[in-house]
Amino acid sequence: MAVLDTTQDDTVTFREDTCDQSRLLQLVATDWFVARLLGNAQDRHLFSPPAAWYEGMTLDPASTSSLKVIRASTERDSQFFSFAAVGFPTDVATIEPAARASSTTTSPASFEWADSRPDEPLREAFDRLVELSLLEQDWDYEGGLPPTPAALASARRVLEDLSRLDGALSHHQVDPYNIAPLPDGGLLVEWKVASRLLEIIVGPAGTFSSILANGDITKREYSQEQCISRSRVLALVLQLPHQ
Amino acid sequence: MLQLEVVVASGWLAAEDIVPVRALVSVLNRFGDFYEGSPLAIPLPENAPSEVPAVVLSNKLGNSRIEIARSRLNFRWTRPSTEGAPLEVIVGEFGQRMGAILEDLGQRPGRLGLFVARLFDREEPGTYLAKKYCNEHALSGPLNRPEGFEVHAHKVYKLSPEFVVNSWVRLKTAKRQGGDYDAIAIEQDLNTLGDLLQTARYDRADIVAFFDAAIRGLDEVIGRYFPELGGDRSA
Repeated sequence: MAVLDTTQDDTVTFREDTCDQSRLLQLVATDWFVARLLGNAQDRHLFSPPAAWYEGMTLDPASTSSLKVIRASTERDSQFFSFAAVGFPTDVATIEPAARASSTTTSPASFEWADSRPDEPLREAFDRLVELSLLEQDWDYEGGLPPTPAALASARRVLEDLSRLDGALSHHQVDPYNIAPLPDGGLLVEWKVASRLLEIIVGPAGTFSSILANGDITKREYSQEQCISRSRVLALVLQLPHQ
Repeated sequence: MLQLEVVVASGWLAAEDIVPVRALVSVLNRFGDFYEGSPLAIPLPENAPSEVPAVVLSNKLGNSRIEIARSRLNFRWTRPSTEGAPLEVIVGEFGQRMGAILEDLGQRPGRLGLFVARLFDREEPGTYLAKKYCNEHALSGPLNRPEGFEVHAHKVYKLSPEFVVNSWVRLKTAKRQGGDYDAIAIEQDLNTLGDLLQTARYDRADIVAFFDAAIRGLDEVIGRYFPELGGDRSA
């Protein structure tokens, strides 16, 4: 578990216990991280930067124990936040924001993150999207393209909509059963309820189509819809338990 | 000129018979192309009044939204900064949508209502309203040149053969941009009787008919209060 300490002068310190590099990279890449730093721990979804914003984050190939550059920004309220020259020694890492336009928020004195995050709806799904965004070309050893920013953004938008409905829905109702990359740069997002399986195919351009499979494996009926709207995707997910 | 500010069309159910998620699915399937903003579920305590919206869905512009509560549906339109819309069109669409969604849910409301708020610019609106509705004794005495002024009136009348309604009219001096009063806010609230909530059951055709009649009724009423506006009532 890693613990993130922040102070009023916006110096951020990672105290590393068992957190590995890839996990850290993934976690830092979430807008949740930025939201926490900006003092909006209660509302991570107010920060909905495009999936591409963490693209500037790289691992220093010369060292497995340092992050070279992290740059994170959010357009909300014109706030801008960036990190630079991040050192990540074996047991302690310090991040000092290079620039911050807004000083209206205060950072929490100390909080835990990663495994101790509250039971947020769709948490694993959001993390999975971040994970998939890090795929490189030929991820399947057959020339597969990495998920496009458009596909990631579309999938993320659906997940955000579902997470905003958390107050009216149960977690099992909205949590995807599976999110997988497709070789053409698209994504497959699946929901499963009893014997019903809903597959949403997010194309490389961010478009949606659906396949609904109903019934057990021996007698399954399929229905397909092409080029559907985001609203239709939401409706299909929400009505899945009731069909 | 009258300027439309807010329109709210409401349907009340006698019991908490609306399942917000089911209503949301109906909205998304039927009107998802219009209400394409991000949906929002409002976490409510268990003892929250059943009329408090649990799910809200907006259009992309953010000026039209549907509010789904366990015993009530609201369709709300707020004037955007740059464009207006004919009142008849807004209310007509609201009636059609409400009828369709409640039909999907197998529910019939026991009460229907329409609220419309409009503004029109007027210099010294307090004096204007006082002169319009007060006698000489009042104008030469306590209501001599009032800056702010309000008139509220409530009537019960037969809107059409099918609908007996409460009609509230509230005329208030208003400030468009702070400073002095420079406008008159006209609020009209037309709703079927609360006493009938438990017994009346309006189907889809009734709902559409109510809102068609209500918009004509509002127009007629405002014409009586402000005949000087002529035909310019519903913009």
